[in-house]
Amino acid sequence: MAYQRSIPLPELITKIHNMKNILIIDDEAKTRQMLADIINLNCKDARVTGFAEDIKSGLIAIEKYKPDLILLDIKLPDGTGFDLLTKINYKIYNFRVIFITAFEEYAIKAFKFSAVDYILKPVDPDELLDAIEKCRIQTDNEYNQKFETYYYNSDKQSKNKKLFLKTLGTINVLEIKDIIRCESDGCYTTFYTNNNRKIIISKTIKEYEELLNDQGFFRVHQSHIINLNYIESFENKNGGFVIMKDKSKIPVSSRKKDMFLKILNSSS
Amino acid sequence: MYITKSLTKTGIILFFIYYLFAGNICAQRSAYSSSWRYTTDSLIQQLKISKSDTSRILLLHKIGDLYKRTIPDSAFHYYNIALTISVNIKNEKFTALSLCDIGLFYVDKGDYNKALKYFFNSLKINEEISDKKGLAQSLTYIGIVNLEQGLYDKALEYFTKSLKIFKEIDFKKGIIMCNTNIGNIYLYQGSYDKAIEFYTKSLKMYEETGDKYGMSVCYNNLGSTYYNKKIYKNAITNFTNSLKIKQELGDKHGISGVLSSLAALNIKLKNYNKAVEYALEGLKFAKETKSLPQEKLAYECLSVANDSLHNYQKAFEYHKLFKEINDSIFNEERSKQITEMHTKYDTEKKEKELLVKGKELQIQDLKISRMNLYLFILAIIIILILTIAFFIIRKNKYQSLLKNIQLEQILLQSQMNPHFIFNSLSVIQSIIYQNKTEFAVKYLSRFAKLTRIILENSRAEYVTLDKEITMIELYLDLQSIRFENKFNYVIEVDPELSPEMIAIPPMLAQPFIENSIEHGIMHKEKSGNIKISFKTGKDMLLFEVTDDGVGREKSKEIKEQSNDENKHVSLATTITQERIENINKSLKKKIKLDITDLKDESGYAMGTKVAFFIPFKAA
Repeated sequence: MAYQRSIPLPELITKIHNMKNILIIDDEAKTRQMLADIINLNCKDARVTGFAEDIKSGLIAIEKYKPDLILLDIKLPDGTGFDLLTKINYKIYNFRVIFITAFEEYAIKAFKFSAVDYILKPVDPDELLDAIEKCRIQTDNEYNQKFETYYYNSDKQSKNKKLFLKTLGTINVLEIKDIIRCESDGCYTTFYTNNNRKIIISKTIKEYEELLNDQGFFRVHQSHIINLNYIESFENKNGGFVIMKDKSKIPVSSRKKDMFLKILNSSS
Repeated sequence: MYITKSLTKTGIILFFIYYLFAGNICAQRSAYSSSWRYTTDSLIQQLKISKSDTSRILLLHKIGDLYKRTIPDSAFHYYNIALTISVNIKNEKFTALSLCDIGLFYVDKGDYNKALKYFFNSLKINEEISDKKGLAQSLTYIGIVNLEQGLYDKALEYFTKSLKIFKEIDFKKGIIMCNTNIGNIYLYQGSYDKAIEFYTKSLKMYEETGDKYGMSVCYNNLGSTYYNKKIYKNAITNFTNSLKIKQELGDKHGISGVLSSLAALNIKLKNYNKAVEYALEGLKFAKETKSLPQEKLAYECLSVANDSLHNYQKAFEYHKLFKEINDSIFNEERSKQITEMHTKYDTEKKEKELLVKGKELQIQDLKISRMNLYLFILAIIIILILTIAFFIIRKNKYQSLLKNIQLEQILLQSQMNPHFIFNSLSVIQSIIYQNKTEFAVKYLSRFAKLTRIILENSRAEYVTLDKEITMIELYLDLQSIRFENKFNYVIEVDPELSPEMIAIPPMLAQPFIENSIEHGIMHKEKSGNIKISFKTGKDMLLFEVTDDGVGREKSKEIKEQSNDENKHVSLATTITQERIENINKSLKKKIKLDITDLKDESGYAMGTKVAFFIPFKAA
């Protein structure tokens, strides 16, 4: 053997985020205490150092503790957790955020778009620790991109939402309007975009269906979600096909056909 | 040719009628002369003197006979008087005789129906009194009428009958009369040789009896027959013979007829000047006797003759006169037709009236059936409206029911606010985590109780007041534990009320209580107070929720600043108001909702008061 082929390594964990200084912002004292107890008892590298109960006290605590991580309840007596974040320049502080929520559906959807970390109440201690660990090891780039996407989507002025997609080696933030269609291949989902990119994600198509169904997308087939804005024509032959603008031919399942035609008629 | 035909008919009619008159009365015919006026005058004189009815009747008949050829109306007058007297003295023979004479007058007039009436009456009388001669005479006259009307077979039948009777009683005049008339029938039917045979026979008999008038008739009729047979030479001889006799007798009617016939004959022979001469002469006599048919014939001959002589103007004038008379005769026929039509019309009118009545009945029937139809349609429409109304009402009912269910669901969702549930569970979790087992058990059981009550109540329209109070108490208790005595609460119940006896819609106030805690008091730095009170109002239950939180305005402000997309605050009010509206639909006394923003003297917000006015309802 003359030479050995060099194998590209996956992105190295160059820097691990410090978790020594954790701030919990929640309006229920009992929950605050419990979360702190779970973290302090189970995590060597992490420590809860401060507490706050609403936005007002939260801002003061941030200033005071300069936390590495904030466990932030979405619903606070004087606003939402997101309100708090908009009131400070989080880049200065270099903290990371894990959201906590009891129910807020809209918030959960937003987290999913940008893939930011969150946990649900009542808290599963394992989930909490996993989230902290994930947050600890993820790169600044990944974290920042997620949060930028989250901010972007949460800004009421931005009409187009962005979708954070992480593959093995790369991070992709796609504008929803650029996605032509999604195709399922078992546990993987392939995204096709209007600039001919093809992104394979190791998540099922069902997760994306839930995210995209109110964004002008429709699941025409068990394996296909299409962006209705990219439909070129519909052929009512052999059970029905949609021709997309990228000339791909997408089958329409017989179960979805009626609904699909109804949506087409109402949108045209 | 037209002229020929009309000549034949008129000529014959006239002659046989006068013959009959002649044969009617058994009076001496020697009196016929140019001096007949003297005779009539003397007869009228005798009539004035005569006192015996019988003699008067005889005289009247004599006078009538004398007048009938010259002044028929006078004759009619005398005959009528004779008839009246005859009826008065009940002399059947004279009555029958008078009837016949009047009948003949009508034949002359052309009123055949009237004539027949008289003849049949006389026939009846003659049958009753078995006067064979009279009977035969009556039959003859009826035959003549039939002949006139063109019913030749019937006429022949009558003549044959009367001829038989005349032969039986050997009444020569009658026999001749019948022969002549039978001859006439043959002439009309065109059997000229047979006609000539009968006429010749009659003529012979007249000669034997010395009846000059009859002879003249026979000559005339023979002339007509020859004329039709186109043996004009014989026709001239016969007509001339007839004319001679008639001139002797002074029979003006006859003369005019014969003259006209001669005129027509001369036209045929193209002796137009002679024809004009005859016609003018005939016209003179016709005018004297006022015989329109004779006049007409004369004018026609004059017109044709003058035309042939190239006197066109005269021809035209005569033609005009001819036309006038023809029209007047025609008019008479017309008036008859009109009379007939009138009768017909009357009948038709009656029929129509009957028809109209029938139709009216039909129309009435139709109206009734139509009314029934309308009623039927009306009934259907009413049923339809009722059905539609029923369905609309039912639909509305269902809609309101559906609305109720939807509201219930929304209410349930708002009560069983998932956020509240998960937070409560989270609280329980943290209590357990702190090893406060007893407290955790207590909290969990209360949470379970509240959940159960909410689930139960959200389906009920009304619940007892004590149940509602329990629910509120549980809720406030759980929330106060959750928020670690961030607020105090008090529930006041008017001692006059018996909460287990009163029914109220469940969970009306719960959304407001939640608002008080989460939006009123939580925004407050210090701990807050919530007061729930149930009081007796005027037939009402007064149900108040009072808090000393930041007030609605402030709360709204905070809300707007935040990014919270959960519209829980406004939802509580909207849902409750909708619910109250829906409940009020089935209530006489309405539930009222009143929200007051509490302020101190300087206008600073001091909290919110929510008041419900609920009409009493027994549980």
